[in-house]
Amino acid sequence: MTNSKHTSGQSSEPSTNVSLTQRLIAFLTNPFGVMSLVILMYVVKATLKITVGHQINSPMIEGDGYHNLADILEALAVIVVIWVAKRPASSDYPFGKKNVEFFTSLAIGGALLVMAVQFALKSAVGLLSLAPSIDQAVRAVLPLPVHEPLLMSTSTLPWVLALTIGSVILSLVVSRYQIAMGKRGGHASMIADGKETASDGRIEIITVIGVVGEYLFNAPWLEYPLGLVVAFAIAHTGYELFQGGLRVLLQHSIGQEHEEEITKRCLAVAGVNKVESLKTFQIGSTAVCILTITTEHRTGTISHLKYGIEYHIKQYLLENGFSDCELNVKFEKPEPARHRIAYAVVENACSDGAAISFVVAPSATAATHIVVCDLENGMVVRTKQEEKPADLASFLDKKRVVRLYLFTAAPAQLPGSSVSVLSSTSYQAELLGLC
Amino acid sequence: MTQISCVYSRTATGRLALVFAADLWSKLHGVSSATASSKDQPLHVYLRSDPAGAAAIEASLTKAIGNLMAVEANLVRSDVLAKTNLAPDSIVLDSNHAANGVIVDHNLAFERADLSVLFPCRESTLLGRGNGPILIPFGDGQSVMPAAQVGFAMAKKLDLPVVLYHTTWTVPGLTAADPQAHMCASAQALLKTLQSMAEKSGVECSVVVETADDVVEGLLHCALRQSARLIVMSRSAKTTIGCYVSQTLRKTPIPLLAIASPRAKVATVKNGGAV
Repeated sequence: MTNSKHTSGQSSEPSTNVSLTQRLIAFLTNPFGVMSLVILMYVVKATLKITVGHQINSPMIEGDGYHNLADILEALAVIVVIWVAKRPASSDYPFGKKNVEFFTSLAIGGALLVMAVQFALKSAVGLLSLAPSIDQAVRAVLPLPVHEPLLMSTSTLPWVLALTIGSVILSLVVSRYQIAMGKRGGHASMIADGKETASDGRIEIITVIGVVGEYLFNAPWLEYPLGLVVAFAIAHTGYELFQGGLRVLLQHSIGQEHEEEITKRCLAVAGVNKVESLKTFQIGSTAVCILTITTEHRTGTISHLKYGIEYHIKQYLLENGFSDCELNVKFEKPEPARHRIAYAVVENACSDGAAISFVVAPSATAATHIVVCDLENGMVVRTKQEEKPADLASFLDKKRVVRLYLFTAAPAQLPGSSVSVLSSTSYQAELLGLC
Repeated sequence: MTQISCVYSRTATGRLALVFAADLWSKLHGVSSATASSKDQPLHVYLRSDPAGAAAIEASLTKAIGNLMAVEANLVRSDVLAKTNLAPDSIVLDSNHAANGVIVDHNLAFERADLSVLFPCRESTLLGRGNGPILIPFGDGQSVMPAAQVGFAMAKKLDLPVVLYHTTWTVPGLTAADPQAHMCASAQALLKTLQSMAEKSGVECSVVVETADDVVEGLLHCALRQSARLIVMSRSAKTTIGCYVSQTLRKTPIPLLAIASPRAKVATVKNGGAV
């Protein structure tokens, strides 16, 4: 960097250009830069609409200009919210204050719902005005607002059209830009504001259609049914924003489809027996997942298993609109399913007396001992060799043995006992996991 | 194709190894349906013989009940058929481990360096969690070649891709960010050989080279990132302490095929088969 001081003016020119371009890109992708441009757009729209509306005596355009002034305040609020959300995490706020952005979603979503109702009402009133008798009958029951028909002279038409079409284009372009940058930076408030801007653009389109319908096709009614459609679209956007904000603030799960995919990806990792529990919620654009995994592996393997699980979940979440994720993966052993079995055995004392081994007896009569085995997860974890008791059935019942094994193809059941007598496929203790 | 076998054991891990071996055998022989059969290369199940044990039982009986070892073989055969759903002619019971082929077992991999053992790692099937590549780690020596031969052959047969993994130390003073630039000449030559082997085998092959802090951790993390379904490693003839295969076996959650050490094989032959 210091070398650039000594370079000639000619060679330093491209680097200045590059740095200017880089600065411009940085400004255009920075949330504060984006919102500054949004404010600039609203300033231009409000100034033009209020001035032109006043000049041509159009309360509709002038009123829309004042609405844009309110949008400026909203954009300023979004800037403050983003600033708060970007504050680093602290011991009091371990996840930061990212959720503050969802208050904006809630507010804008609510405002859009109100706007949609108002717009739908205006359109419905416009439609009713086309049938005066029905209008009168409805008004007798419902207190509807007064219908204000579009009043515009031919001389003002080009001004109105130019202003409204220009405003539509600005709204749609800027809203897309705002939403894209909001998604990129994980700023829910910017996305919500972008959706609100897009809704403004849709209303403006209906205004254009109304003006064009009246003056070119002599069909002023055209804007009213379309207005109802747009009101529905705005209400839908408003509901989505409101619900999205509410879900995050109330720590709703990140969604069943995401949870199902996370479970599927966990089960695809070798060594995972089961996803015992999965809890998810969202903080800002960060997904938080708390998982409990069942595995039979030991600590040395579990650290690698954890790496694999976290890698695949993180990859999925980042590919699906979350800017970051916090994962808390716990591991537990499967339920041991403890039970007890027994083998009837023949003790085989070695000639040197150093070791005593046994083989499974072909019948209870031939057995000299009973080996009682404690099983966990199907594995023999403890064995105890007892001398064969006189009353084998009550001994097995007392020891809570559920199955007795004999080395024979067709073992006889023990009379007076609930213990099942089954065939041991081998007589070798080693092959049965008994030593 | 390599002979597939397993050791009969009536334990939870023994059952998993048997089911894994039968599934692998079916896949390698292109037999997918129930009661699969292949007379040419059956699944070998090793049943240790214990004449002393049989004699002990006979001594306890007042009346002889026939050849106990034959009774055991019949019971084991029925048990294997019930657990694997294979056709009777697909299974051969042997009393000794074969020197060649792959043995699927949970214990032998830790005990016998002279045998090629597939450690199923408590998985019941190779591809039960979905398809994934076979990972073949390599260093700078030729010891990888037996693993590569088996790995590429299995990948071809199972229609799986192969990931060649290498981790290297950074060359002091070399600032290149690409880890491949830090590979030593012999490792680079080996990589070319392995890539040409993959091409000849018609196996899709990718390469991961990194500068991992720890070899075993690096290769296991790579296998987990890639969702590898099998790791194939050769035991080196030269390594005496710190064998990567043994270290990986102790930590892997993924099935691992440990190819026999040539040195251990020779030693076993010299000892007349005794370990």
